[in-house]
Amino acid sequence: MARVEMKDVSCSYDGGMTYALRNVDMTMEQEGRYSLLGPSGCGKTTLLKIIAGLLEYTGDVYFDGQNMREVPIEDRSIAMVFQSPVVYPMSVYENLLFPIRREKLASQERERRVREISSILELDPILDAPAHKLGPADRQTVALGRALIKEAKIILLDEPLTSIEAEKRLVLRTKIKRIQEEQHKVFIYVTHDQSEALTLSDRIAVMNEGRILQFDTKEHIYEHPAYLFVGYFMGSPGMNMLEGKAKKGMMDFVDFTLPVPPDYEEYIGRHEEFEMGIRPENFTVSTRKKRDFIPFYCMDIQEKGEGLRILYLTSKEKRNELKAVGTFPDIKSGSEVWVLFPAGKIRIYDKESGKTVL
Amino acid sequence: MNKRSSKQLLGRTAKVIFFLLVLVVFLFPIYFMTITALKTRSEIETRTTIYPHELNMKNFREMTRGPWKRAIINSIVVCVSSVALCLPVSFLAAYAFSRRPFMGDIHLYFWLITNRMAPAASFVLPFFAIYTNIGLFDTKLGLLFSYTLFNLPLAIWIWMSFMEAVPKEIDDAAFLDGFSVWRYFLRVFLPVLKPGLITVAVFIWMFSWTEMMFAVNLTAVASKTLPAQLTVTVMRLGYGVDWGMAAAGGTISIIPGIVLVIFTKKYLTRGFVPLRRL
Ligand SMILES: Nc1ncnc2c1ncn2[C@@H]1O[C@H](COP(=O)(O)OP(=O)(O)OP(=O)(O)O)[C@@H](O)[C@H]1O
Ligand SMILES: [Mg+2]
Repeated sequence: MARVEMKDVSCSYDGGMTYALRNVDMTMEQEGRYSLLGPSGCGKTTLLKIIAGLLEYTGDVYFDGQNMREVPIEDRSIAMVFQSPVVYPMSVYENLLFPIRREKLASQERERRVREISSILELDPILDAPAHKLGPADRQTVALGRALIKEAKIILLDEPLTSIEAEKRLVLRTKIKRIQEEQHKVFIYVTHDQSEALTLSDRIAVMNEGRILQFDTKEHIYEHPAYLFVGYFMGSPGMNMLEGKAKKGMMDFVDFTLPVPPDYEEYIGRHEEFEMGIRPENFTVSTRKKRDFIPFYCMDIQEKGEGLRILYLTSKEKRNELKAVGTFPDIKSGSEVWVLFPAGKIRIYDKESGKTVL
Repeated sequence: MNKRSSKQLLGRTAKVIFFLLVLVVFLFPIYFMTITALKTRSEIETRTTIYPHELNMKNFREMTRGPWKRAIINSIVVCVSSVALCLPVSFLAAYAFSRRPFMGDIHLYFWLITNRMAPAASFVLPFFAIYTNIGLFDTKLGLLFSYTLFNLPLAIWIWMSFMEAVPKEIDDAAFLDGFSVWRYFLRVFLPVLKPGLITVAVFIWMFSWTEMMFAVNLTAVASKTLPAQLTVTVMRLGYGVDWGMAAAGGTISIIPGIVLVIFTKKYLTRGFVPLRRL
């Protein structure tokens, strides 16, 4: 069992002028697969290093209820894989052996553990090679092995696939996934690639500018983004964002209007301006005029793969642009189309903070 | 043979001749010094010859005794102790500067570097005054201390440029794996920094081996190093310079440089190029 808890954690690299991490509150209740997702420079690495004990911070970090402030790095039961592949200048075998040197084990037991990890990660053929002479993918695999061989409760993975050639990325990703299924630990996986986050974790924390915007299951984050930023960052293409105004009980978007969805009637009654978000997959698009459908013009069509297409739509007076994703077999580029906005899929956000209003 | 390949051949020949010429220009002084050491005194003083007509080993034999032998031993002792002292000290200092920020670190570093901006001559007088008072004048220890003033800043600077190229994550990984700092130095950091270690050692050695200003002015008899002894030999005005002896001393003095360069070329030419591979 391992429960990781952060209370009001902040971190600054320059003595308080700017903050790399701001008032983070986050609890990972139990073993499982978590990921931190966010754009470059949002503080993901900083957060991991604080959990590992490698950085100074304000606030509190608890493992299983114990405050970790005074606990030295090597006693934290943590293993970490870094963004750039780090190996020691010795053989792959010795690299794997190093983290368990300190543990009181019989030498056969150590040997057995090394063999076990090396066979899982398919390192057997290069076990005697000098680790620092290997390519980035192999070095990162060794680093992964070094992290996994320890009896650590928490495994931190900081963009382990970023510095690896594209062809080998998938192989290593599969290895990581297999390990996650076999070992029951807390895995915290950092990435700015949402597809990695989706395959390698069950709960995702989306970060931006040193804050955690939303920490939830991936389904919930996708369906109900807490911030416009989250909606836009997750999904490809991301959520459509339209600026709207309340007018005569309707939502006005300059060249078309929509009825207010029942959930948002109260908010829109009180606020004149707001942002509307809607996922590209949620539209119904027709070639013929229908009731409640809004006329748009299809500027361009792109293949998305797996039979899906992305429509680039613009409204009558070109005031609003949308992307729609679907099969759309009979839609042609350069034609007029009619689009239905399903009320249940519309999300309204505060114009100032970008935060959901529900 | 067709036109094109004969043209190529001509180009190649021209290139070879050009580089041979360059080689001759650069090597001739060294050649001339060496053969001068092998000539007899009368041959040196009567005519200019480009090879010794009569082989004379006396000058080199002279190197193995008396003041010359002492000078060579002094030089080696001062160089070895300079490397032994400055290498570890500069390593630790550079590690602190590059990995462990502390209050005023930039100012301390800058002050160290500025020590190298003054000419050695400006330090001679204070060193002389202090050394004569505390009994360090004409001692190898005194030379060692004065060389350290010049060796340390450069050594720290070279170390740091090598250390900056080693990702800090390797420190973090090692501490997470339970290395102690010393163990980390020994097993991880130094092996990665081997080219840096060799470069720093070579620079310290070469500075101490070639240094003249302190060697001449802070020693009298017992602690003269090879460059000082050479200077004395060449400058003995009025008595007539013993060219053969000076040439033999000069020849001996360039040997360590040649040997060092041959054995460490691989590391020196790689120089300060980042070692990002690790
Ligand atoms: N050692 C440091 N000194 C000063 N500022 C730093 C340092 N490390 C990170 N920062 C700053 O802190 C912020 C957060 O950095 P961090 O490395 O945590 O981002 P990240 O989310 O991991 O980004 P990336 O995806 O690029 O790895 C950035 O603005 C960065 O410039
Ligand atoms: Mg990072």
